[in-house]
Amino acid sequence: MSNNALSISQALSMIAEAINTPEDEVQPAASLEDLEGWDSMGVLLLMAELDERFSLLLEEETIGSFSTVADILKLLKDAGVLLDEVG
Amino acid sequence: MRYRFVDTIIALEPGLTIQCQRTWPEDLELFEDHFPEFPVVPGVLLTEMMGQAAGLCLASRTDENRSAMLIQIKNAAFREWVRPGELLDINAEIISSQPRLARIKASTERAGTLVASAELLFSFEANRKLGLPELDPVLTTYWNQKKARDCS
Repeated sequence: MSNNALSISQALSMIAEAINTPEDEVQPAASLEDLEGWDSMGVLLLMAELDERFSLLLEEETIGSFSTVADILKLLKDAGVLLDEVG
Repeated sequence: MRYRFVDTIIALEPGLTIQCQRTWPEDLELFEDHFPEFPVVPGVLLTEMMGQAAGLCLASRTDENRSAMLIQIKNAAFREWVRPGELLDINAEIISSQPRLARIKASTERAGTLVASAELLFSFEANRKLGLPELDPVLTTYWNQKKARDCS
């Protein structure tokens, strides 16, 4: 487990800040396409944040397969950087 | 004023590090406003200058026919006034690079004194879309000079 591992709430905050979307909208069940900041720039900034924080590189195909915020959290969990169970 | 802020490349490790130089011309019209009795190079232009240096480093990679587009200024600091006519040494390092993104750190020195620094994030666009030549003229000059030195 990375020393930089996050709780779910911390991960949601990180995602919200990266894609410039209010935190209360970035919840696990939220559909990404419904989030205002989930556009090409938001995707790039999230990729950059994950790279900088965790040295985690996202492939284009991986991003394309995401449909909810929970998908991102699962990625973080699988990468060993999320403390809590996604549920 | 043309929007090219790197005069010469001094050293280059393609895709890794670059050292450049720049002297801001004293007769640039912007100095009439910034400032009338005390001309200084604006911090935003120093940031762009450092970004262009990093962009040249990225562009120097083999088969790279894209240009780096600034998408985020993560940190920028301006420690001392930079005056027109001063010779500036710019250093840029590619911290990480992936197909769609690159992170860089850059610094500007004047006679060995740090005057500015920045951490920048870039995405990429095709040179063809931007109407840019496949190889930047400053890079072309550097490669030609290097080739001449290596052959002599």
